[in-house]
Amino acid sequence: MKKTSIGFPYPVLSNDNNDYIDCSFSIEGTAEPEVDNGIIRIPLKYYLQCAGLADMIKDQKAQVLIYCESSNSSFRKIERYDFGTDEKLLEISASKISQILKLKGMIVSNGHYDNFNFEEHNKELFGTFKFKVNKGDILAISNLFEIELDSVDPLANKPSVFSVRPDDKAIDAIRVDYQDVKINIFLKREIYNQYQELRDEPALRTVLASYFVLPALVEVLCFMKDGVSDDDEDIKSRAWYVSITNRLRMLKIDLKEQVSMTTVANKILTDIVQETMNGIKHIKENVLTGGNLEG
Amino acid sequence: MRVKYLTDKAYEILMDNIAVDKEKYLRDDVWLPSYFEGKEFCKESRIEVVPIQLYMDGDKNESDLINTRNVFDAFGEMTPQQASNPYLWSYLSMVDFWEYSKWRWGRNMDDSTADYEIIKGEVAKQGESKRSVNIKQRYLCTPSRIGLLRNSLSRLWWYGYLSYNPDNQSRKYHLTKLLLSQSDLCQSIVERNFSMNRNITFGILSAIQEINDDPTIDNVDRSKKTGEYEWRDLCKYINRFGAVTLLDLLSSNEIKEMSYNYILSRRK
Repeated sequence: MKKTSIGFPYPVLSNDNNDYIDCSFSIEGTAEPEVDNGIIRIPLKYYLQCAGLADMIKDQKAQVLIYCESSNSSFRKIERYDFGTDEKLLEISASKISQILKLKGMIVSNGHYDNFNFEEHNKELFGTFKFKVNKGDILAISNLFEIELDSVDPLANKPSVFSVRPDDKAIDAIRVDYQDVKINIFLKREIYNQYQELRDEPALRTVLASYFVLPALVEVLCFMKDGVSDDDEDIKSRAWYVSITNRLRMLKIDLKEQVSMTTVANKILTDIVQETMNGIKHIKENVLTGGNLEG
Repeated sequence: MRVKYLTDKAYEILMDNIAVDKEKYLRDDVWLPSYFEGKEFCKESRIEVVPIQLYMDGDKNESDLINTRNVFDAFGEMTPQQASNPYLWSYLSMVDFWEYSKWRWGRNMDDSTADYEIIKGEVAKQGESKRSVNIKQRYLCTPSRIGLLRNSLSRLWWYGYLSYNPDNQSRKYHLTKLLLSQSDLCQSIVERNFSMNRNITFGILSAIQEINDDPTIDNVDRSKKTGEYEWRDLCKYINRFGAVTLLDLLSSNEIKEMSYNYILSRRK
């Protein structure tokens, strides 16, 4: 969506030119974008100050659209505003977007018109010339509206804020420490070695995550709910805190309103409980009945 | 199996040391794991794939078609968001499919200074060698749309994604075959922004296919008048048209009709 100087063959309402006098067209978000179940929801409103174009829209001779683009994931789509409203809730699957979503409002012609001429056109440039516009011709372009989406790694097999590490001096089998940038799950050396060996087996990974990551996350969520004050900048700047907070925002979860941190942890880990059951079932079917874990 | 991808640190190190490491890219063995001397350089993703067999024989365009189908089918449910990750494709090109990357792109390892055209295209810096550019584009993967369309492996997936027809399972890759029949045709279409809308790509390719299928009309190829490839002229026209009229409002059939008429009108 580079800004290019395109010589349109008729006046176009835009901040980048003087084709119109005392007119404007812009789009703005009316609330923060939200992500729910993998769908990004962005409420948008357009603001149009131009009697000529407003009349065209009212008569359905023109329409307001949002042009959406996320170039790295080759995503490109238009969404139309319904006639009679200047508000729209844009809904896009997050799986189609790579980090940045660019939005631009446009007003386009709905038909072929031979007398495209408004009072608002710059008379010094165009006089009273009556232009021809065709269906789909762009009549107005808004500001560019960019949304940077949550940077959670879509490839990640488990949250990267966790790190399972050995503790050679440990007496207890397991300890969770969240004083660092990551949430460290320390295992007694013998247990860590067993963990590493089992982790090489793909079918066991989800089960292991359920054993170690899920309870650690529950502990951290309890801490976040009750143990972090509003002005505790040190904790709030840690990578694990930022990552979990972003994820909670995407899931529209307010910890203070939640009773069960286990339920919340399961949602954050995209239903690891179900995945674990699937994994155990797979092991039962393939190992306990004499098969192997591959395939 | 679950595919792996480079850590961000490993990716940065490889990108920053292309000039220093360029001899390594001439090797036949997979050198990347030992390069990081036991330190973590990759992670396992959540993406499951069936084993992929890449065809390494004969005509490069034919192999691209076969391999595009194999890669796109193997990656099944991978989302565009996941497929836009350069760390994934860099790992696959450098490790799992090193042999293929070398077979497909290993000839372009001339170490002379990159041409002005490549520098002007901002792929290379002043004084950078053609080999370094090739490494950056084909073996590693630059984090941009064009980068994803150039890397050895990612290009195969994205060609499939941009041209496959999900509504016709028996002829899913019908237009992919046409797209990959000529590398210049492919580049002319997919590296333009309008190809992000599949309707537009389908329209253009359908028009070309219809002309090629008609025995009474010459195939779409070099113009007898100008010597330029007709599809280049067509794509420039579509681009210019789209600067004023929003192409996304047109159906695939409207784009096809427009393209068909344009090509034939230019022959008169």
